[in-house]
Amino acid sequence: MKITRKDFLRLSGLSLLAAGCKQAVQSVTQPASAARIASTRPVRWGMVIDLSKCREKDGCSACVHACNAAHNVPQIANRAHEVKWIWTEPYATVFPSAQTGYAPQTVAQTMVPLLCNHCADPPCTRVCPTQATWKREDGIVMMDWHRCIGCRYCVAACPYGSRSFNWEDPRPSIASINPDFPTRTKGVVEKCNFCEERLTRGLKPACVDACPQRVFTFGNLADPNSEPRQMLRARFAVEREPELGTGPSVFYLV
Amino acid sequence: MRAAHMQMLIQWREDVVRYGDRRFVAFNGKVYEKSLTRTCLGCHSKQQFCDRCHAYSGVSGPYCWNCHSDPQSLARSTTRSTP
Repeated sequence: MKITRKDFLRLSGLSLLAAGCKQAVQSVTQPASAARIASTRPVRWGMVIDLSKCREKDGCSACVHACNAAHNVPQIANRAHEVKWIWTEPYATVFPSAQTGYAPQTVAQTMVPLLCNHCADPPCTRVCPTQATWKREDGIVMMDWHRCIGCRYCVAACPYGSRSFNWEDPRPSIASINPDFPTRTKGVVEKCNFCEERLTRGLKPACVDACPQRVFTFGNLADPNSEPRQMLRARFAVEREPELGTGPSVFYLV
Repeated sequence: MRAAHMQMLIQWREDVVRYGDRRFVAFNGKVYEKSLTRTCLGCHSKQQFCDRCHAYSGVSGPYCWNCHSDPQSLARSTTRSTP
């Protein structure tokens, strides 16, 4: 079959057009990987900590141990170099403005579990010069340890002391390394990630699962019917340092 | 893979850390988890696969292992310490 120059040009033009259309349709039907993650349902992960249940088993630190084991958190004896994701402090230290002096000893002296508050408006992400820490769509304040340059601006900015700096190589201070989670290296900042790696597998955070008293209630704060929202409706809750306007996602039932 | 593994690792890193996207669909439709420790080192040995070639070509730079652990050598060290 003989093909004229005019037919050839028409044919090639049409096929180019078809290829272009196919790509346009594909880009609409299969959005980029980043867009695939952002679901239409708004998510803001949050946690409610019931201190009355925690008080029943004072001195327990199952949540801390579970977190340390899951995330290779080093146990460094030198307090100036210590690294912590979830830890405990006395009630009076955590809520200095929420005490009367007449509260029962059991309340004033119990240890309160503390972790990153995953603030609605986190000061740490605002000061990071490399965007190694940022707030995800689902409310988790994430860290990219690849990008952290160890300037410690975030450590200074966080009003809750939730961030730790690796002053030394953490590996010798880890009892047994969990290969499923990276360790950190000397010179980077680290903190609680709300078990982001477990959430993607449909699991709850390690501290929530480890607690024998079921002190922690984890869920979506953007959903009015979620478990933490129901608890917050039923009982009065406090946040740490609400006057700072950071909007913590971790609430305490005193 | 020899020429472009670094681009792939950086792409996977961005997808997982920045966008929470852990699913990789290969050309043949097989689905992999974007994970250095679980996926790459699930079959490859760090000594035989990474280190040998890096040593030969004089590229001694990768600091992956400052944080990421090699499950095979971890298993070996634990079996040695607990007789």
